[in-house]
Amino acid sequence: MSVKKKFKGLSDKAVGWLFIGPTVLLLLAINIYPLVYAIKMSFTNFYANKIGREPQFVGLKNYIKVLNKEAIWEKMQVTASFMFWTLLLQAIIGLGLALLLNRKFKGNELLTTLIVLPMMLSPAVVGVFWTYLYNPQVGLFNYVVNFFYDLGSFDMIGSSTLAPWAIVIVDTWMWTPFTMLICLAGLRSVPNYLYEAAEVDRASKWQQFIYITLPSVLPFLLLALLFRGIENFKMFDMVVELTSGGPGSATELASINLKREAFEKWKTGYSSAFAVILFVTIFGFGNVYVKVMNKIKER
Amino acid sequence: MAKVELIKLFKTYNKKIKALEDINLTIEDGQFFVLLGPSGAGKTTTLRCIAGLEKIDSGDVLFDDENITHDQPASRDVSFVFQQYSLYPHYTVYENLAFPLKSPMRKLPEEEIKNKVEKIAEMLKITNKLKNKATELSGGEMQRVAIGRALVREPNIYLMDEPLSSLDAKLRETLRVELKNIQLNLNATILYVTHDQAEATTLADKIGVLKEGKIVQIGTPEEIYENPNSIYVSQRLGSPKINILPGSLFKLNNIAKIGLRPENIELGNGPYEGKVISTENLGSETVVAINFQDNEILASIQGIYKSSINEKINFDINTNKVLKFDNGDQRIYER
Repeated sequence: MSVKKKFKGLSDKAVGWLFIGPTVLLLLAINIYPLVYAIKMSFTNFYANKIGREPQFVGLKNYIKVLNKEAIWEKMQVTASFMFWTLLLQAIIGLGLALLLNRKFKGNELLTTLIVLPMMLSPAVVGVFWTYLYNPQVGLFNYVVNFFYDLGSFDMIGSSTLAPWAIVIVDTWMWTPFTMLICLAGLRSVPNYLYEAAEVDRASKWQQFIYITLPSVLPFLLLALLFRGIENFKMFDMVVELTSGGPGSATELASINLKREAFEKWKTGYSSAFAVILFVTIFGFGNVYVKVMNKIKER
Repeated sequence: MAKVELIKLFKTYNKKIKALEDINLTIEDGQFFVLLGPSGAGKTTTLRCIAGLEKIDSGDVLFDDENITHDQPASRDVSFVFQQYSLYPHYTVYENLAFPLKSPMRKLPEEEIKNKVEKIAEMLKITNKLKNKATELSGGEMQRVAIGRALVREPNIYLMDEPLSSLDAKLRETLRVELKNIQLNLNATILYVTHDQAEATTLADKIGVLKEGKIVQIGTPEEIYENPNSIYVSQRLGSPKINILPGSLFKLNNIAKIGLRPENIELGNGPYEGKVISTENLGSETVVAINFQDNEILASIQGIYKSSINEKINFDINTNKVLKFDNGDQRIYER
């Protein structure tokens, strides 16, 4: 009522627009306009470094070029395997940690805070200091691995077979706390009397997990994985700092390749087309995923 | 089914709050035992101790003379109907009902599970809901499923914690009758917790009255109603509720308080004169509130009784049915 009085003469709808107006304007300026501009550019042979040259309309040529380029499919493969392993590991470890932290024990809260810390660091900083941890001579990671299992000297970043795992490990280290937190929220939402009922019904611990815990926590876990999936599809900063896409192009994710094409080779029209393809891919996957997730939630 | 005994049960929460004190009771095989008391009296705690969901401080729980005080809930083989609808929300009614039969301690063949579930569903009239998800049911249906999930197996004892309290009056009455029939058919041992006196009197073979964690009286519904050992117990049963009045009011000068059931008051003529405060017509009976020397007395009269407010009224009491209590609210028994 008081809001209505203050904005005398304005309808509820007008007040609503007043509140969301600034955000909409900001979104239009920094998200929607560049997107539309990029779509327009993707049909031209524009080079951002060639000043004064009028870009020409080339139709679908850029798109055909991107989709026919074998290197692009290699980057997509690198991205897909990066996503598969990070999501899998973060789902399993995150859920596992959440199950452990959901029990009552001393120091529970302190431990939760400690586990969540990596998530709060800047990805670029994480990338930089893991290059030290992965150092073959003085790196802590190599030391610890060798302490438990003597592999001799190995270089996580320098080897093209190990480097993809190096970025998977760092991302998992950094973002498992995120899936854990969301799973923990899901676990806390399960009423205790369900477990009591199951116990009286003489269900085993495994049955309790399958019948009660898993179905309750699954929608939460899937949501966390959706966020992680979108984030990792456009992963850039951490990997650039850690491996710069190398060695060779072993860890060159799609977004890193895109940045190179756009701002090192200045193939603006071509990279715009690539960006649009990436956008449509993640948008499509995201939508299908949300549909599936809602189906599971309804179950 | 089994005989269940509680011997000298003590239970405190957080080492401070006394929940149960010296509980002794025996529930015979096939008996419908009702624990009656207001909230906080320890009814639910008693059930949870029998189920093994709470650890007791001291005392013993015996099933058929076997001490199971330290057994886990699963190995006690009891079934429990919780006050909330504790259905497994992600599964259908059928799966909920079948759940107890899939325990590793009681693995039944699919065919047998199906038969049992269908039999129970028919008994509780939820056959057409078997394929529904547990969350797609009305409150009454959910509670039927919860009761069905308890009845689907034959445990040592059925423990029911106010299973009907969250239902509307009509459904409660129907389910109450159904429950009693089911108990008679299965010859089941049931320990049933309620604060509803109608449930207690209609269902119980025996009633145990709880007060602040202690059992104050055990008896058949008739014994509890007609022969209560304290004012507290006398007030548990009876609607309209019993009149507790100073003895001096009826020239019983050496008696502190008397209890007088509303139906033991006769209106019309008699040595006592009061004024009508209000009348409440319930159809089969009329409850008349009378002001007698500044005490309010409730009388219930068969049929419809017409009178107007402030009208003078004469009444008599049935002295044989007067319950006499001492200063400590305990019953004085005639010698």
